[in-house]
Amino acid sequence: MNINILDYFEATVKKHPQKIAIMDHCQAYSYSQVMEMSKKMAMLLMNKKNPRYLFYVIGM
Amino acid sequence: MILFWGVIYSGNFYVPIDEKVPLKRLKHMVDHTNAKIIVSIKGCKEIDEYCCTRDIKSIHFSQIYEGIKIDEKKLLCVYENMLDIDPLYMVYTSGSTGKPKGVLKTQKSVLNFLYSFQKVFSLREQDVFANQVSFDFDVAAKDIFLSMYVSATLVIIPKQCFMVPKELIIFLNKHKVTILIWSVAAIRYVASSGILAKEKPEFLRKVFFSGEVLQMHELKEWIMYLENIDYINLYAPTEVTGNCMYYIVDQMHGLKRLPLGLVFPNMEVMVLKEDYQKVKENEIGEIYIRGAFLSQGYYQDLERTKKSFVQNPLHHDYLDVVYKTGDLARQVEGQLYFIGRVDHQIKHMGYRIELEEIEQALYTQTSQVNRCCAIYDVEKNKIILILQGEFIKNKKIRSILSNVLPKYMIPHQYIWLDKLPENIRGKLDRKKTMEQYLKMKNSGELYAE
Repeated sequence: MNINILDYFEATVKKHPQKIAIMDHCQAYSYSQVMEMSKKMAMLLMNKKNPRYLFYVIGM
Repeated sequence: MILFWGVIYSGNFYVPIDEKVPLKRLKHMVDHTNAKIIVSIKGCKEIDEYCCTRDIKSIHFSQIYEGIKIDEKKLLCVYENMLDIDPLYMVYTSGSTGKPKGVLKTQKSVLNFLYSFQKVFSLREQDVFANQVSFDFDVAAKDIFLSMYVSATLVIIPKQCFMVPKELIIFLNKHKVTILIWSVAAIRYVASSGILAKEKPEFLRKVFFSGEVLQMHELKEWIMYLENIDYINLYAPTEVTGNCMYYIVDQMHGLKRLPLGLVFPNMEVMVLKEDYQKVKENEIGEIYIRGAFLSQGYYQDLERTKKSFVQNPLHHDYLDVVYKTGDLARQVEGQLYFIGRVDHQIKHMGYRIELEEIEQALYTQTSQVNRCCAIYDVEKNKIILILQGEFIKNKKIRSILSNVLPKYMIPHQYIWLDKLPENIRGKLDRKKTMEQYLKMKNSGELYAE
């Protein structure tokens, strides 16, 4: 068993890059899109000064 | 979901919040977490204003992709510093003090849960999950992580589908949904709508439900029209990642109540009496849980964590943390049944009574009662049963209950309401029911029997 959930996520992306990972309001994202966008978001968060705790608000 | 993974890639943990929660509660959560950044899908004026007063950066989803380049070296550096004991996410659960508690879930607990769940249920990469609960509800974490773990697809059900049951079924069929991991409230909603008699979800394989006890007559409505499906009752308090027990409904067996079932691999559930002896047949005890799915306790509340995450009372040989749930279970014919909460126990005529056991007993005897809530009027020294559903005469209810309960547990008074109060998750709100009862009592609306 891997010890990091990102290992599983990236293994899925590698195996099924074009498969739809999530469908939200008719907007479909493939696994590779989700990974790319997530990494971009991570870069944005890491550029902020030491954001130790993050808060995410869901828009309904 | 992109935001969740983004937070994880950045080496932090996320706290999902529904922007519809009352502002006071939201402010408490922001202050309590000491959040440095709030990311919202849509801009929210009130949240933005609050961020300004607290030195918190507010980001909207649309800002995320403006000219950002991925630095793989930087991400690798973060990855190499991650530990599996670090938090992955935190969810808030209601606290007895009225202030929500933040429960921390680690990588380790999530990974262990995913592994065990998959070992038991063998989900497939062809599966399509349909998310029903909002992401601030811990049930949603199963949708997010399990669908990824098995390389499946997750579709988000638009909220408006739950206003028109037919639309919901059309949606499930359009997306060829095979897996539902829903709250009991949603399962109940579909059952009571009667839609399954007219329209059927054609691709469903497994239906999981959790959050509260589903009544058998509600489940039978599903089974009657969709019989070749696995129905699974899941159990765990929020302090455990995912679930620790599951019961695959045996449709051939004439069940009256749903048991808690089996324990997931790498977990142990103990039901102990006050003297820490394991319960025997027909005895009630408190549920203690140990194993790899345990959370890290409560955020910024070491005192409360120490009260609930305790040394295994069965030995003192080494550190062995167990979670003392406050949930009560009774063992009947080798099966465990959820009875109620320790906090809802009363002492009446010298007997210890679990008020929820009265409710469960009634559900097993009649399907005319949609919902009921047993409360204790300390002043009158009486058990009161508040009901919702098809009216039944008091004498008849007493007679029904006396078939299954001892005399001292039979309520003294029965009050019918059009609708019992619910919380935001659609669960019975006991506190508000009690308040409503007291209001009626004090205004003289209740007559003496």
